[in-house]
Amino acid sequence: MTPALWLLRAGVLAALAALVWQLALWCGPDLELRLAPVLADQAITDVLRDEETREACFVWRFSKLRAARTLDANWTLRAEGRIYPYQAVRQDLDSLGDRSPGALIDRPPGPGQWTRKCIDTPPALVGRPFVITGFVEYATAATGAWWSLRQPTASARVP
Amino acid sequence: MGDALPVQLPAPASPDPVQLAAIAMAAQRIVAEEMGKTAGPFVTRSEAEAIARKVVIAAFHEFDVDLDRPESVRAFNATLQHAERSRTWWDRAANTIWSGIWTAIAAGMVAAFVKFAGVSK
Repeated sequence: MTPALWLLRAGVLAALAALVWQLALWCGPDLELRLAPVLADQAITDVLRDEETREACFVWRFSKLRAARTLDANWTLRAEGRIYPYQAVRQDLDSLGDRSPGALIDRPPGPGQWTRKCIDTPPALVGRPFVITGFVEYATAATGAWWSLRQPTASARVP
Repeated sequence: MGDALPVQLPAPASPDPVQLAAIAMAAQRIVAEEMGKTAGPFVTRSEAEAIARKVVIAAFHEFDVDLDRPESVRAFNATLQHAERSRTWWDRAANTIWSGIWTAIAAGMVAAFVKFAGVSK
């Protein structure tokens, strides 16, 4: 066994390690989302449409299973194969008490949390059914240094 | 008698393709000549063996191997062993690289499975 051969083996091992690391970064978030999601017991309830203010209000209920920093969150309306993103969202009551609207907050882990939000419906959706979907992007305490976790919220059909 | 004159032999020329071709032609000529020296119209067993031996020796001369000189044969064996060691080294290097390639492919397949398994649920 010559030094050149050991050098070659070390090089191949290093290249493999780099590749495996890149592959882990690629598929790690999907695996974590499937095996250890941050949110559970999700539901969207108490959906109310107000035709006067053109708002659809709903309560999003969930349990947060572990510590995670919120990086991003958004709600989207969907109807007939197109999306209506970036509608104005008004914060109503929250299980944490008063909170400023539009602020990304880091909730403590715990079951039975809820928040009530009112979302503007665009003129095209007035009087028509749509679906509310959303997501929260987390940097978890365990793997937040490597990747972020984009977990979908529950969705609700608004008649 | 007495003092032998110091003889300056010219340095042997390095073999070149023309010389090697000449050696090969010489081997062919030897075969033809030896065939002509046979006693009868047919080559006997001992004659055939002698011709074969001459031709083999002449052919090995093309590679600077003199089968009649034991030290030349030893040198030839050493060359073969060196080539064998060298081949083993290249085998190991190639095995290392192929192992790396197959491991990379397997890792990519596992990662793709983890990435896309359960996406279409």
